[in-house]
Amino acid sequence: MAHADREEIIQVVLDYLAQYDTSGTPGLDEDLFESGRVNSLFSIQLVGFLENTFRIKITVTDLDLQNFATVNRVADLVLAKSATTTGA
Amino acid sequence: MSESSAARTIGVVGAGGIGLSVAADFVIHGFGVVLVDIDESRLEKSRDELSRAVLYGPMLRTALPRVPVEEALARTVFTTRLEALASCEFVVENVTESWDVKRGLYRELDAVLPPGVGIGVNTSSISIGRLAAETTRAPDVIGIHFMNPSYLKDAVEIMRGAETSDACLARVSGILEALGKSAVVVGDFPGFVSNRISHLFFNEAIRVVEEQGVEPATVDAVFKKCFGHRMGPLETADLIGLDTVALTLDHLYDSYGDEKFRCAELLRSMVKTQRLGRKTGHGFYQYGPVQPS
Repeated sequence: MAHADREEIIQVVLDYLAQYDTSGTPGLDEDLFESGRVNSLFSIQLVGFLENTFRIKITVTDLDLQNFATVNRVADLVLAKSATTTGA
Repeated sequence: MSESSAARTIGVVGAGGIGLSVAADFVIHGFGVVLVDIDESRLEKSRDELSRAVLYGPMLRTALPRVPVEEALARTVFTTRLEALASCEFVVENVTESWDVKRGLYRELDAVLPPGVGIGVNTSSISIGRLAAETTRAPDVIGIHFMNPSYLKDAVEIMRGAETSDACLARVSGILEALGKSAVVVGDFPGFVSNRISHLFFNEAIRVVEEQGVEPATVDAVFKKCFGHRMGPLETADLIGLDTVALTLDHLYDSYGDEKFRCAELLRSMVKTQRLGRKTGHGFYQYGPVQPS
């Protein structure tokens, strides 16, 4: 699913999140860790999921919990990485 | 990494979930590690898991040093030979929560390790004094209950056996300090403080799912949202490994003879069908794909 648009990315992330958090759809700017929807270990799973699903490579410098804290920021990261990842 | 810290080598026996995270904790903090497991394929998998822990640890806990993955792997020896532990200043044992397995291992460790090298028992419930009695170095045997994942935790529960020396306790406190951890010292009784209590509520949470049909996420949400816990009991049980949780409950039941520790049937059946939690990708929750071994 390389080069998905923002709407698609958000929907995929929300669907993935829904497997772990059954308490309803979060706000796109809601801090998923602070609100207790998922714990920070979830971010590690999310990294693998994003890499596989969107065929992107997340690098060490991207590994900041803040990049994974809200749905919007995850979408920002995927879009930025999709733009820089070639051959996907 | 300073010369002095590079010279310090710790042995880690058992490359399961907790053993691996303990090994990663030491490597992240500049130690060399000799990681021993009887299973070659398990060790092979450990390289990836150690790499990921070293990579992701500092994201989850920003105070952790960032160690390049190549350096972490270069500082770790992966081996099936217990003899490789002879150069270690201290050994942390993390094998399965079974008296028979641990007992045999302690006799072997005692034969392989030079006199004075201490052994930290990373156990959920097995008596430190009983294991120490299998060795000729009882004063150097101490319980160190690392929580999973070790590199994200600020403290460990220390179980002092009847014969554990002050010197051993002091040495372990020094090692923990190098990991940025503090110690809470408790006595040597089945389950200690942590698991005697936590496994009761894991078990009770499982019964609520089994008997009342409440969704796991709902049970956990009560703990997270109402009590402010970072993780709910079922998520925590999945993280520990449901096989370990069941073995610990069995051990507590045998030790205290109290019905309250009887393992829930749902937990038993999940263990039988290999729904062991994070490590098999499926427990009370589904997890990302398990890395092929």
